Amino acid sequence: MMIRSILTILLIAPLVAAPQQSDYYQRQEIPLPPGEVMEIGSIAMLPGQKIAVATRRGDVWICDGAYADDLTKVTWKKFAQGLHEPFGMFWKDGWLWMTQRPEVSRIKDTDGDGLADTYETICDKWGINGDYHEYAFGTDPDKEGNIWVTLCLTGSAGAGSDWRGWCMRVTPDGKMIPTCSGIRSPGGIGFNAEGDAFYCDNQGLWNGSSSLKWLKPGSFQGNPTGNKFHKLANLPAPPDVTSGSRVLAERKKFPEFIPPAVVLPHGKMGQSPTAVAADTTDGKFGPWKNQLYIGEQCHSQVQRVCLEKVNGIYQGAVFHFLEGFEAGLIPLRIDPSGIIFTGGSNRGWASRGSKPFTFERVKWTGKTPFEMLTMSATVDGFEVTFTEPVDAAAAANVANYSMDAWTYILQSSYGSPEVDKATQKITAAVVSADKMKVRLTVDGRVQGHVHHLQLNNIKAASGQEMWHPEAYYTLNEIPTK
Amino acid sequence: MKRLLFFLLMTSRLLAQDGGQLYTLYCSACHGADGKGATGGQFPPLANSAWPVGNAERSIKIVLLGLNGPVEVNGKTYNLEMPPQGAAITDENIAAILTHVRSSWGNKASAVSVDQVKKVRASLGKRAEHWTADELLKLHPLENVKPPIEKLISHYYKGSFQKMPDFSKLTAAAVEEEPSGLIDYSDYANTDNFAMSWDGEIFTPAGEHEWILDSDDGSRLLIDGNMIAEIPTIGPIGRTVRKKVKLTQGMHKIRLEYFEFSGQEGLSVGVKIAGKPKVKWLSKETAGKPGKSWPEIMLKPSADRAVIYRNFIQGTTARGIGVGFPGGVNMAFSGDHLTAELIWSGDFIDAGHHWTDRGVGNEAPASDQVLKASNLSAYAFTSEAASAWPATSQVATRFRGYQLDDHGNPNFAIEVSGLRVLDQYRAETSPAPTLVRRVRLTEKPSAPVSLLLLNGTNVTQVSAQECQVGDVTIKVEGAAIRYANNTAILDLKEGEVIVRYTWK
Repeated sequence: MMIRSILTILLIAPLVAAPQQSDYYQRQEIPLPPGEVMEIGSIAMLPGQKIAVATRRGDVWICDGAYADDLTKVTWKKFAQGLHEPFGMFWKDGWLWMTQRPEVSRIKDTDGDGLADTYETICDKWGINGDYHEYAFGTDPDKEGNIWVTLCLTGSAGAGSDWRGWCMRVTPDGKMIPTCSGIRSPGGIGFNAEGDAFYCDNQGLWNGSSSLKWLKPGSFQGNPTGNKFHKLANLPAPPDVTSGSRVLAERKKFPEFIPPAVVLPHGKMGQSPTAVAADTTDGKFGPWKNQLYIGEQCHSQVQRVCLEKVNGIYQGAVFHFLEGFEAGLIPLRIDPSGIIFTGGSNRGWASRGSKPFTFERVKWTGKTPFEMLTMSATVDGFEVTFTEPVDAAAAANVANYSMDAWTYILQSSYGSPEVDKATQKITAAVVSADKMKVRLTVDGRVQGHVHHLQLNNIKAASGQEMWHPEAYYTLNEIPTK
Repeated sequence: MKRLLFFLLMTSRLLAQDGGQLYTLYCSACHGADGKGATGGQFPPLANSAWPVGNAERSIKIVLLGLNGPVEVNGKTYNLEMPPQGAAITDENIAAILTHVRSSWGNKASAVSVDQVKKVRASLGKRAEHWTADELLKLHPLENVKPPIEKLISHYYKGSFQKMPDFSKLTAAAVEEEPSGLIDYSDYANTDNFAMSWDGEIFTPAGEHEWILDSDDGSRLLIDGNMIAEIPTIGPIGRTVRKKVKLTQGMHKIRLEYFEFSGQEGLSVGVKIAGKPKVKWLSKETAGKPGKSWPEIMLKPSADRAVIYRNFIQGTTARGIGVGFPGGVNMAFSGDHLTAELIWSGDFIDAGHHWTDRGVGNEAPASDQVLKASNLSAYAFTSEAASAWPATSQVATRFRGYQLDDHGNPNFAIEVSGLRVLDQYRAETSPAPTLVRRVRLTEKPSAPVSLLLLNGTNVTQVSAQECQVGDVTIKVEGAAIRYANNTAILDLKEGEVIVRYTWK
């Protein structure tokens, strides 16, 4: 009897303790039109709970039934074909607007037969030369109605066509406003809840690790390859950064160099980030209100990011979040009702998800995981908030935390090892009275470094285990008060 | 439990010497955890491949600087880019990863030392360019893998050949050793007006083996000095010649001669060894797939609706909009030059190239007979185009997109000097395949503007309403053709001009 009880405990304990994604989030594949190759690059929400998707092959299909409980009843109608790899599409006033490789356009079915017949070119003022890597990723309209477009470098390494390596704003009447320089290879672009634009740039030349970057108008993002195009618009020359340096050192020389808001450490937090989408569900997808979700092509994941502004610069932490998607994720849409729609493809770039393409939705089960909700920098350390009261005794024990930090070389060659490594010492951990936060005093923080916080043996007061006990915080600025 | 393992992997510092973990981190996304190439072999395998075993210098070089362009592994060609890792991974870790790769999944090769990596890194100096497979194979040929044709040497000749030239009277423009052992003309930039010959040796067992030859344009295959197959004339792929020849066991001399006049090109040669089920291809191209290592996805209009293909189309600018009309009439409109720059009859276009892998490069129309009508911005002030068409025009233009009618026929909208020009295209099939174009200027221009109809091609002037280019007759209503130095120009007025392109 005794032995059996112990066995039962041993067998059940790990099952009870180990949080599973399916406890909190339900991931479902949405059936696709049979026989069609649906390498989804864009998702747009239409009135009446319809969804339009654009594929890398240039088709637009409209899906009905993707919100329903029973996904077997989903129907699809082809709306358009012959578009050039749209990445970024939205519906506005009866038109589907999209960023294609060569242009921003809008399309419409004017005669009501269910097929688009009007294809208007809004802006085609940037260069393309036939290089496969000259991708263009566009946003929804910003507060002024402008679409932000990031233009990948030629072959992700050169500046063979006008404005490669820049972010442009396109006005509804087709004007193009050069907005940021220093871009390498974007994988997606979007806005945070405040309406500031961010994009994901992929590891490569002048990009030690993939990261989430803030497209502050007038800023330089780190890769000088496309600098020469400033002459096309009589703009000041972007920074001539030095290879072998560090982002922090260069931005001290060049204030317009805005550092990556959140580094997504290469290999540890994905290795090919794509979409950027803010959680505007007001709590319908869990407690992550206004946080950002990052799509990940290579690892078939969604990461979660919390941001704060210190000394006028965005920075913050990235946490592991959702995984196990069927293909590499490219676009990501959040419906205000609390559903993430995502899709993607692994054509040309492999992904952990082994299907060639996918369209999926994720719903919250209503159960909140015990997680770090936010991580923010303080004068002398970091403050971590939790999604529910923490086991105060464990959380107050400094031995249950470890921290190390590193940065990357800013260099003209591909990527960078983690360098300038440092280990921090947690000297105090003070839990708030409501047990919803812990304030860590940290010795040896390094400005500009990614700070990797690892929590060990910290459970919720309820006994629930932490789902993802680590975070990566990019400390661009250290608060002084 | 899975999560616990993951947790342990992430927290225990990646041991510098643990090649397996490092492989998972840096390599497995593409090459697969099992070394077979990720996502069902869309990426090159490292398991059971000759590339990572043998001389380790080859692999070290690839890891340090990356590899770009086509590479053949176990008979399959991959055309991808492996990013360089030399700046991201330390010498210690590269040695550990390669040692892991060389001793996993059935691979049995010696360990790689940190010193070896350091030496190779030092030897590369400031080189930053990716390797190409050909370049590496010259430096470090794959061990124990016999190329399909041994000792293969190619000769390349420039010239406008409409039949097989007498090679003994020509001077080669280039001579190359071909370590791949494959017949392949694609390394040479010219795709028109050239001839090539290849000489090498091939092993066969004793028996009556079938040789298979196909080409665009002509070709000739010689074994041990005897001509066994010939395609003597200009023409497309599909004229396959098969010939059985009895041979003894051993090495035989093989010679292939080839010429390409203009338009599309292709060359495939193979041998079906007696008793073996499959053809062994001796060329990079294989029968039925000229110039391609990707599946064919031929786009076709439906019976009553045109199909559109916006992509990189060879012969026009990067903003190409291909239209395939019912009845085998096709065009490619340039969104940069604002006119139909390419016009052809027959099949439309094969999207297989752009719709598989990364879609590198331009795709040519799926026809041998493409009229390249023009290659400059199509609108200019008439005053600028008095004697010749200006290379850069002063007219401000803006592409405004297109409207499709019920049959998918496009009506392109263009702003020319502030005026709206509509340029509509549709096809007629009887009595002859014809592309009908209506160019409509909605208002009278303040300064006269002209439209470039043809340039850079041999125009046969018939009249002010008609001219001929190759096998296309062009007839114009509503304006007169003005000829200037092999250029055909239409001076536009308010109203409509109809242009008909008809194939013989």
